[in-house]
Amino acid sequence: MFFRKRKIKKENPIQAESVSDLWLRLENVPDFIHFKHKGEHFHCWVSFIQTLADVEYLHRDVFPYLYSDKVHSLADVQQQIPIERMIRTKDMAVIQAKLFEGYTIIQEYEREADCLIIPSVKIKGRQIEKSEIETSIIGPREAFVESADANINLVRKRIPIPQFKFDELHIGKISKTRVCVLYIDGIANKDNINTVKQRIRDLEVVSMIDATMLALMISDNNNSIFPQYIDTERPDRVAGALYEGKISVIIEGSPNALILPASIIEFFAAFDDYFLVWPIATAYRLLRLFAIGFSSVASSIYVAILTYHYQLIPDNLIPSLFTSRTAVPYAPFVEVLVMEFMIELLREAGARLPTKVGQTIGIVGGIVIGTASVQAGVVSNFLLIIIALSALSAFITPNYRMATTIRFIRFPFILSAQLLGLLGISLCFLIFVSHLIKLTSIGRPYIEPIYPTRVRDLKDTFIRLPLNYQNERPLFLRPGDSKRFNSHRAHQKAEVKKSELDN
Amino acid sequence: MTKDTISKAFQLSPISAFFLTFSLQLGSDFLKLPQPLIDQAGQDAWIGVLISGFATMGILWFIFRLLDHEKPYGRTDIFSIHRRLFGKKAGDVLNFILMGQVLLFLVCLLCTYSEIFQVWLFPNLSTLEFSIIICIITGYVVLGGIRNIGGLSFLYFLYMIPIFQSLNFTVPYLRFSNLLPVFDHSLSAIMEASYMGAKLYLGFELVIFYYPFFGQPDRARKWAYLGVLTSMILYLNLTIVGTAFATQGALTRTIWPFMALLKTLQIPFFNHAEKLATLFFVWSLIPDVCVCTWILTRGLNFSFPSMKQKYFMIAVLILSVLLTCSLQTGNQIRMINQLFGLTGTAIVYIYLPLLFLYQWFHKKVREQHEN
Repeated sequence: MFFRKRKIKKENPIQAESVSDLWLRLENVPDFIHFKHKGEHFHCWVSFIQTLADVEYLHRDVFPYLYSDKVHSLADVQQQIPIERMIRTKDMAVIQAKLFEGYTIIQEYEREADCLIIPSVKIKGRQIEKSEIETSIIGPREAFVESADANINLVRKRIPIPQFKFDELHIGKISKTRVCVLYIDGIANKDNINTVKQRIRDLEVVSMIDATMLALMISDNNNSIFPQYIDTERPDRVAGALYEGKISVIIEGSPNALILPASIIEFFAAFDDYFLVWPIATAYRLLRLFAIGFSSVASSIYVAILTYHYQLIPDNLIPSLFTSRTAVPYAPFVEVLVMEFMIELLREAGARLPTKVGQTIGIVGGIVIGTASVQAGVVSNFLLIIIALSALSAFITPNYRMATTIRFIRFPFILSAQLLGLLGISLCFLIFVSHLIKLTSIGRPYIEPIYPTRVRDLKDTFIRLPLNYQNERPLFLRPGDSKRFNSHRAHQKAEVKKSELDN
Repeated sequence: MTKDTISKAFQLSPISAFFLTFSLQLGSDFLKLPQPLIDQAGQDAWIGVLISGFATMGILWFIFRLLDHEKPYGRTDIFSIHRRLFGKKAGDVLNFILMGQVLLFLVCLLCTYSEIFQVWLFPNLSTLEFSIIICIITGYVVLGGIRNIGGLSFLYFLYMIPIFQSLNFTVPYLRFSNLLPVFDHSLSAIMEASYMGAKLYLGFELVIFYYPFFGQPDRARKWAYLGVLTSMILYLNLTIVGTAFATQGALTRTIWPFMALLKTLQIPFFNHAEKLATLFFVWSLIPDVCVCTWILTRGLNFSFPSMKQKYFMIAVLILSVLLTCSLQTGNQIRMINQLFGLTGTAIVYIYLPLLFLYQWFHKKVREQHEN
């Protein structure tokens, strides 16, 4: 009982109880400025955090008004200073939160909670730069930065309507991170919006560093290796998704925006598919899907065939395959594991090192280790080709998160190939597919156009039909307004094409 | 008691009726065609397949009438019908008999497929290992409900398209003169062949268990008929191709003629492509096993509503693994398949029409009583 009492007493240690308590706590904080301003007519206490507030702005635009002879009380200050969104409050929670956002607090008496809060936030961040991770050859290059306001600005520029809305939430017991849920009212499904907001509100966390961290916490199945959201650094992609009826989440301090809900096909669609003519875009998509299939099972099929199913090797391949295999003393399984391990090491080393060094590592690893291991007889050069191709295919995936998944699922496949041969691969595939059928993203089915089958949504999945045929928003989002434009009118307006023979 | 209507989140789309019917009917029977009919009807086996196909459609019509008549009284599945018509105890006994048939189906499938994989793909495969793996996957799918099973059966249909397209490779080897002379057998022989053919279609009757899960039963019925029609066309194809591909003497000695057909398959990069094709049979196994397990767990839950369905599922899966492992030799598997065919046709062609009559009679008596 004794312990319980103490606990209750220390229930909310983060929140200061009174203004004087707050000042006392901040006494030893070096960048906290707290002084008494003595004007001719008016005395007041000014407090702000130097590193967060824009001091220059305060000196230029706020403090002169405190000297004015028209000012006699806090209410006068509020009237005189020409700044919008000033707050007059006695609420300690607001005062503390605003102080740490960079606002300036003006009090008439040091110990009284009656405060005027003046916005003086210093906006300083990275310039908007080219996107580094999701690069595209054609199309916009802007990428998000760490400031949520700048990011919303980038999106809003592309959606100039009042229906574009965002709801602000604050999560994190200590960090109180600002989370913005972006959507277009009337297009996005209300249930989806509510689900996302509800899940964000229900989070019990201390801090929130990045948007992807939030995504991991609010996704439907935390144990699934398949990502159930898209994180992007491209504002054009976010705007496109919002127009489609999706929801985006932007977090203060994160250069990634989340797009929810997501279906599996979208991970294999690069955004610049929309900037290419449709037969080419379709061909690239099919190429990518093939690459993903190849990448996940190529090495395991090698293991299965060489361990159990020799009959499957075509006659004309047997001589070359067996000359390269005879030098290798290990079982195919070990051989493949060694090689996959090597590739993963190279990738990880390349990712952690600075770009230039990373490239060198790639070349050194790829050429030197690859050639040397074949000559030393650790692996066969046939396998080297397969592994290199499958690694290459895994990197084709436009989404980095999905690329890691694709690389990861190789290992269960290899293991099952070693255990049960081709049947093992088949069963492993079955397990993954039954998992995918079960999976949802914000309650929407994950492999949507495939199952539940929506023929209408197939126009932008494996294939991408011309843009003037994409007159309906994806069905799986259950959008508020399913029509993008009137297709009848669009086709009417298009110039009637006459055959040249008819002239 | 369970509620009368299924919440919309768990309902099946009408088109699932097609995929479920199709996958349940095919089971493992497509591998055997036309072998079961050859003894009776020889080259006229295709007539038997045709007759039994239409008979199946007729029975399906009866079944749908039976289920639709139940609508005013509660849930439209066989469990509720039995309980309503025969009272709690007798109804439960009948339910358990039907569930025994479903369990038989489940065990037949597991046995047949583990045998196929042992013979064609992986000789070291132990039946125990295989059935345990399949049952774990099944448990995982069944936990997600009937919608996931519908998804798997849809994917099964999708994956089977290339498999059946591989019949194109047999074209150079077909001798259609094998099919001549047509109508060379007596009517009784044809009828016997149709009886053998009727066994091939078994599985469609399981709709009596999951019918209330269709949100729009009217459209689902049409899709179910289409499912039967599709499998009939497929069976007809297989029978004709099978008869034209091999002589009757060879056919009577082949256990799985479909595998012989697949041997003509040739694709680049691989020899013996029929082994790769065998991989797809995992897909024909799993939706059926899932449906059976789901039905059994539901039935047990219907009789003992106090316990959780999850525990029933584990029990059913363990039981099916044990039963599958107890059948070792090929002859035993053949026998249990025959038993399944016999009981299945008895239930479909005798019991369900009788039940339909009884239901009608019951209704009339009640009406008179009220008047």
